[in-house]
Amino acid sequence: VTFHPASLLVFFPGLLFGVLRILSGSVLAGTLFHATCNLVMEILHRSLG
Amino acid sequence: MVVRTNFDAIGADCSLPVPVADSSPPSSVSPVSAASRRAIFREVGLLFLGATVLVSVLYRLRSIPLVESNIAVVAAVAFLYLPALLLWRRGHELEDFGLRFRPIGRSLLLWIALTMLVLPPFGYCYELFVHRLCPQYLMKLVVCPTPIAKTLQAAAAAAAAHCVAGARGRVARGVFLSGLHSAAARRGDDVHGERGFRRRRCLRSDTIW
Repeated sequence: VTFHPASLLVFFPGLLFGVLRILSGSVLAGTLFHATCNLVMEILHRSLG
Repeated sequence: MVVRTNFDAIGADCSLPVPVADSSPPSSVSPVSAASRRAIFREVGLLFLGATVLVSVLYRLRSIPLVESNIAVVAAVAFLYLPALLLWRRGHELEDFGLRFRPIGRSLLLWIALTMLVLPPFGYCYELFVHRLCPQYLMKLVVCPTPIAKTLQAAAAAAAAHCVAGARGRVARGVFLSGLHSAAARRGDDVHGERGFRRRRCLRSDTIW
């Protein structure tokens, strides 16, 4: 367990995935959104430097 | 399907409550007693603590190649299947708690809506953070995440290359220099001439990183 502030980058999206699970009743929406976030972050890293 | 004791099912003949499917809106009376709720919190807390301790111990042992290569899998299995083992022992399935595709339409709709709502502003803020806020202010506090710091290190290396070549690059004339400019001016350096400019640029590139 590390206490690096960057861990919050995982915590808050986790809350969002929980909200998606509650609203949809399934983990499918959260799974797709997680994959989309990973893809967008990769694109941002490559395009913005 | 979540099985819940429906107290509305108690009829005039005072028959026992019947477990029914969760198809009706939740009533104002909570079907879970305070003792049960405490037991649930204790169980979830202990399970989470156990999985966290297990993964933490493995993380400390990641110098062992076998642990290093499998720690992600072990963490996923621990956090997924430890709760699942308890549920299976009580006759529940993971599908009851959302591990399923249905309802596909609603899920897809929520996914598209949230993607449109969150990611464009996030991308804009990310661009601001990387190119404006982070180099100007936050780098001095060393709070930039590692990938961004690496990005900025690359920018500093590019500035240093400009310094060696003696070129007036855009990076070298950028926001990094503003603070040093005023400091050099207070010292009476030739801040507007070529010598002062080159000195500021080189010094700033060395001191940031």
